[in-house]
Amino acid sequence: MRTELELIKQIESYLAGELTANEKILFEEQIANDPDLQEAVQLQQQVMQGIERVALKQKVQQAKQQFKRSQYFKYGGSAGLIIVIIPAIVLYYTTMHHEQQVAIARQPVTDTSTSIYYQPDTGNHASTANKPLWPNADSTLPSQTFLLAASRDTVIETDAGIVLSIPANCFLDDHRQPVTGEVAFTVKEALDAATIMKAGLSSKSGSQLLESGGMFFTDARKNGQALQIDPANGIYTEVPTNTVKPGMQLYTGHPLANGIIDWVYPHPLEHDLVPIDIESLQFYPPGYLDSLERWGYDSHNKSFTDSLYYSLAAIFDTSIQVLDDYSKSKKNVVRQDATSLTSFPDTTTYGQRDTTSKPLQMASGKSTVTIIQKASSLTRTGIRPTDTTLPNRVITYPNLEHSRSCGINPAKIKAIWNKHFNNTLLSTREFEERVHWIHLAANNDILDLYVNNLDKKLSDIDSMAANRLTGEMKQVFLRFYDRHDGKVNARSTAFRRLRKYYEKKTAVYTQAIIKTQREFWSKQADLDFIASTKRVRHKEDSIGRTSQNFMEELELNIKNAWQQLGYKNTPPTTSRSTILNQESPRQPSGKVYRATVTNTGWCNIDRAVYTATANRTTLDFTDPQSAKRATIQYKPALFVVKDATLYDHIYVYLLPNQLSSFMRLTEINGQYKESLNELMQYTLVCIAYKEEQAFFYSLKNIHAADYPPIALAMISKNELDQQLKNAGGREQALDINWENEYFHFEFIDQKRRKHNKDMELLRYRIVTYFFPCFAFNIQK
Amino acid sequence: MLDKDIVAQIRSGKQDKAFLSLYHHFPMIRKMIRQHGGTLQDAEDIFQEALIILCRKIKETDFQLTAQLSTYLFSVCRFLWKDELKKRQHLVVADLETGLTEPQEQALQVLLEREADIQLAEKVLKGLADRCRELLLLFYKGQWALKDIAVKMGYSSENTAKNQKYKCLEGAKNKLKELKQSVQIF
Repeated sequence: MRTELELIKQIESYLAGELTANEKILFEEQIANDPDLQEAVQLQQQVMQGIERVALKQKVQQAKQQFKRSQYFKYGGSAGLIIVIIPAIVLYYTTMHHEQQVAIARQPVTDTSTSIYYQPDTGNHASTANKPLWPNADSTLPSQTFLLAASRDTVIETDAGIVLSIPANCFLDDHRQPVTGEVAFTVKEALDAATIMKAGLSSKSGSQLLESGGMFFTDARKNGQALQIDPANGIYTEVPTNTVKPGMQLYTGHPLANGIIDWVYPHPLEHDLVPIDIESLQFYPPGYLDSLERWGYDSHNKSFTDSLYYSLAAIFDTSIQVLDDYSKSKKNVVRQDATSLTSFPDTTTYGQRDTTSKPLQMASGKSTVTIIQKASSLTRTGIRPTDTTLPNRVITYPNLEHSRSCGINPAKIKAIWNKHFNNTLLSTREFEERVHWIHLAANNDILDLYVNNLDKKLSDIDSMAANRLTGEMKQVFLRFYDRHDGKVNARSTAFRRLRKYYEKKTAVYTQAIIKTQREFWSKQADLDFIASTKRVRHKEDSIGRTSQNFMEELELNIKNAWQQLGYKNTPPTTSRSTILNQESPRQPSGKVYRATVTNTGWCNIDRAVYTATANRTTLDFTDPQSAKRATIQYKPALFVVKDATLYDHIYVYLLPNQLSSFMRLTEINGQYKESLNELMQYTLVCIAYKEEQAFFYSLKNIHAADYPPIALAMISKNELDQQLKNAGGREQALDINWENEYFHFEFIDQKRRKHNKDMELLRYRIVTYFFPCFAFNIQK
Repeated sequence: MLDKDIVAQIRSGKQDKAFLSLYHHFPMIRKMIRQHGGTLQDAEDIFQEALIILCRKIKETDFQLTAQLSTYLFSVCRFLWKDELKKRQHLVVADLETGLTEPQEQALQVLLEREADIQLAEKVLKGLADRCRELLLLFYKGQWALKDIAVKMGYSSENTAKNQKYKCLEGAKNKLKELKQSVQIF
């Protein structure tokens, strides 16, 4: 040995504390007197510390990796995993020896594109069959054994983080039959340089040194009997790495006679993609769920978010004609509806309609007309706001050329986002990333490219996509291309089938969505029409009832006033037409003189009674000729409902015994007030609704007073009908029942209209947000 | 893991689990370094360096744990980052308090200077031929027997392997010497 090396050896012994006490003293003296030796010792010590540092660094890196992986599993990210699919054929080759040793490595300078032929080579191994193949590997690497049920899919993760997805029935016995029952699956792993070296594994392929990305060994046994792996049903393996280096390949371990492993049969990894459940991926446009969340919708309800998103496919339809017809028909409905509204105030029409149970004989008297017009003008303004609930936002559809660049047709997404595309490259995280950008590129052709080339490598499609794009988007897809993402292995017939499926489904979905949409909205338009008809009819009836009540009460009051004034006979002109036609010449009666006098009186009384009845104020009239007084008291009664805020709707009715119909009291500041005519008996009926549940209260013999709060009681629909029938006369009961039903209908219909309006608004928002160029086509 | 277990494991050279346990303090340190103008990469570098410093410190015979290990690690990180900021001629370092006493800081400073030399050695080792590095690591860190190394690396005999080991060491020493001289010139 050279003197320099001798010195190094001596220094090493000193540093390692291997010298005897005497030797040590001697050597330290030498160091003290020899600066060169001092430097040499220092240098060597530093080199040794450097070695330690390198080893420590490796351990730190390892800890970091493990830490990150634990974070990864915590947060479900996918960073830092390179994905490797062990080709089944490699496994087949290695299972010839009941064991397999696999390494991922790259040659520092190598051509990775050569294709490889796998040839089982048994000659070499026969001689080593009785010896442990890699003594050090076996002794220093702990083996991890997993007990698996062979007939079930199993995923295991090793200590160092290798994830193996073992398909069901992938282990074969010597007769190439799938084994059942429990299988012992052993893994040994050496993923970092220190472990690899410690285990005595080298990374050489022939004379070439490989840069290792980790080595692992697998073995499967049943009852000690080694098993093979079904070549058609390989094990998906993910080996963790800090950085994904290009050019990594999968090598198979080939033990040489001297116990060293030669790594042979490199197989390009191509970052083969691992398909996952496509329904766990997210293909919505970027920001879609966030926006829904922000707008206060439940973005976690997938059936809601799906149906909303897919419904937008309607704007991508190519058959413009059909849609034009559709929007026309929709407009027609609107017009029809409007006509029915405008026709309402026409008093002639009104007079001709006999909807109340007691037909009104309408005379064309001025005062009548005034009442009616007053009422109708009120109700008209009452109806007008409901106009806005009609479907007045009509979406028109642009032509196809336009839609190409506007956004991704949701029907296309619907066609691919389902289990039919599981196990294709669409069901990979890698494709999910691309969908994000496809949405942003808003180019349906790009999406088609991916879907139509399921059998190609993802990176190939990336480059095709980049070719069709320009500017920033081109750069995005070029960056994807640079990742060299591979493909999902499956048979090409399966892909052809899927491609056809996609084309068919996109068309079918678009049509189906449009049809559903059209049916939905025309159904809604029908319902709107029915609702508005009912609304109009109800208003008419309300007015009819008001005027009828008025007439009846007026007649009653007049009769009473006459009696008080001493007219024994009922006036000859008790018919309403006479009363209402005060200014038209009266029929001459036989007693001309007297008739003249009484005519004045009648006239006065009539007017006084009329005013009192119309204003519901107390009549106090003194006949100027006979000096007799006629009084009819109107006294106020006041009702409040207990816990009124608990109910959605409250209706308070008074049923006068002398009248054929009822009076609905209007609420003012939570109070229901009405002046009661002393000539009549009243029954109070109060109905309230909370959701579908009805509440009821009734009290007979109402007199003028402030009533204590009405306590409503829950009641079933049938009971309510029964109660209403008992509450008043037959006609009143029918009327109130009819009104009750109307309110119920209106209440439900309001919900429907509100929902539709919300949906329209939401669709409008989404279209303007995600398909901005369609937004101009939506009429507000 | 308890602090004393971590210390014991590092002392006995089984750092793996100790490091993983300590790594859970990384997010806190990452936050601190980012707040003081560092990047994620800076945070990782500083943290890893701090782990190595901690190892060295623990292996010193007179090491006494006076505070929680995490507190100490955090202080070391602050100290290292402050040092790094000074090196980068950053002006705003005043508000970065290490929470260490004066003697502690001085001791760390000494350790840091020594570590700088070792970093040079690390650099040299990384620049060595792969076979040399592998041999040295196997022998000194893997605690391999020379005869196993000879078999594994294809040396004809144990003696050749031993000779080869010394040659590699010599090469490393010479390179380190050159490197140190070139560093001193600057």
